This record gives sequence, C-alpha cells and structure tokens, in this order.
Amino acid sequence: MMPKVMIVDDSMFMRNRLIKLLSENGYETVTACDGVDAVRIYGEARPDVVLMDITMPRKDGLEALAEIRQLDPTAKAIMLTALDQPLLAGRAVLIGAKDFLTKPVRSGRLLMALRKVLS
Amino acid sequence: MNEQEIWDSVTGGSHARLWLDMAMKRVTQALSDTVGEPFHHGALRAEAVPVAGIAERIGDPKAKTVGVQLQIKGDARGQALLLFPWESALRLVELLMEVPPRTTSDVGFAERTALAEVGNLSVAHFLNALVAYLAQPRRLQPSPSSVLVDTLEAILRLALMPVAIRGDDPLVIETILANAGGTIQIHFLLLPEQTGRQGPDMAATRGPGARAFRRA
Repeated sequence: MMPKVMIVDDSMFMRNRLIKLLSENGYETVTACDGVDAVRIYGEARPDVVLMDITMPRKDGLEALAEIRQLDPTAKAIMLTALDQPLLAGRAVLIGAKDFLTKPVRSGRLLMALRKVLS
Repeated sequence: MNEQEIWDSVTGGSHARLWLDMAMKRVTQALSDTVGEPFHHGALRAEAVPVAGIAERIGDPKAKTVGVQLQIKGDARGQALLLFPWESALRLVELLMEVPPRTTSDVGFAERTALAEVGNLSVAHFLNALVAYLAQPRRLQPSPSSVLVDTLEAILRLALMPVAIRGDDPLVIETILANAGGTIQIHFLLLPEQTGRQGPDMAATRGPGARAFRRA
C-alpha cells in the first residue's frame, strides 16, 4: 500500500509541485490549504505523514501541528517552510515535528526525509 | 533590542552594506533554486524616500504591474513589496509553471499563486538573513502574500497608504532582482515600521546625498 502524505500549504503552486513529485515517487497525497483545514482533514484522512508549511492564513502550521498532535500523539510531521529560523525550528521540534526542511527544497532531500520518517 | 533597534542595526550599522548584500544573496539563491535559472541582484539602496517619489524611481507610474505584498510580523514589523513589470511577471510564471515561453498572456488564479510563492520565499529568506545577522533569538515572519494587478502607481498608492497617512518619508530597502538575460526584473522593496525616532545613520541617508549600496 502506498504511504499517504498530507500536504499542507496555502500556495496552490506549491501543493501542485509537491503532488507531482510525490505521486511520481509512489506516494498517495491529500491536501489542505491552511491550518484549519489541516486539522479537519487529518482526522478524516489519517495520513502516514504530514508536510506542513508554517505561514498560512487562518491558522499557521505550528498551531495546526500542535492540534493534530493533541488529536493523535503519534502523528508524524515534517515542517516545510521558507522560514529557516532557530526559534521557529525549536518550537516545531517541541511540538513534535520530526524534521524541518527549508524551501526551496531539493527533491532528493525531501524524499529522503519522508523515507526516514516513515521507516 | 527593541523593534526600532533591530531595523537600525541592519540599515545604519557599520556592517550594513555587507549584511544587506549577504541577505540579498540568500534571496537570489532561493529565487534561482525555485525558478531553475540564475538570478542576481542589482544596486542596493537603504534610504528614506518621500512616498510621492517612489513610483517614479521604479518606472512608468502608468505601466501595468503585478505587486506581491506581505506584512512582516514578529519581533519587528514592516511590509515588503515585490513589483513585477507585466512582461516580467508573465515570463516568470512561464518558468515556474513550466509552460513554453511567450504562451502566457494573463495572470489568473494559478499564476497568482505562483507569484505569491515567489514573494513568500524572497521575503522569508531576507528575514532569515536578518535573524542570523542579529545573533540573538528573534522571530521574524511574513504574512501570507497578497497579489495585486494594476498600474504601478495604483499598487503603490494602496501599499503605501498607511505610511502616507503618517506623513513620514519611509525608510526603503530597495534592489532589483533579475535573471541572466534580463527578461525578468523584480523590484524588491522593504519598508520597516518606524516606531521611534530615526537613528543617526538613517537620517544621513535622506535627500540627494543618500547612501546607495552598490553590489561589488
């Protein structure tokens, strides 16, 4: 069975890029366009891993991840954001993120991080 | 270090030129990696500019333009504005969306989200460089991007309205990002929120003798 990845990003452009990359590499994808949708869709889709942006309308990625981890303490998430700042990375790790990748990320680096989290 | 001191340290400190150059290198690298072809940045300026004069510095005020606007929040506030001349916006969209050159003639929803992401990446990498430069635990984040399509003067009028109402000459950090062939040009403007009096170095940048940082 293909691992299911939830892509959470407010940019349709980024979501489409990631859907293409992941579907070409054997992953099933579901998407959410902000933190509010992410929490709702996580409960419905129960993905194996979440790729979470930080800057989003309505609810940012850090808040959304905290809520998802309350719903499911075993939830696995990789932050995928252009914000490469120690305070944000530290907070993400405290909330339970398994990795913190900076956009634009190389395809190989992202796929390696997914394999590691899913292994 | 308060909000005003954060902005002063990067625009008026002794290492300001070096820092701004380094920050813009990070921006151009992120842009190059996203678009898939090399970008560079032009002359860097950090100076106080009358609001009324900004449009004419950039280009034809009546020219059709795409603007991507982001608020800066966290430990220091301000706003960033990326301005794409119409033809540059179309060429950039074609590269981002991997469609043949000269086949895009309008900017719809999909194209706007691609340009918004360019704004998000560019400003985020600039703020990352600022946080690294401060060498103190700080958090600086852009808001989600707003994309505007209008004449240059209309976009600037909207974006600069809060500054114009206050009657300040805003501090503007400005450069041009361009690809190798020069077919894509992006004006990058950053306007720190001025919460206190201007620092001495910044005041010295006002007027015709204003400091202009030129790329080596």
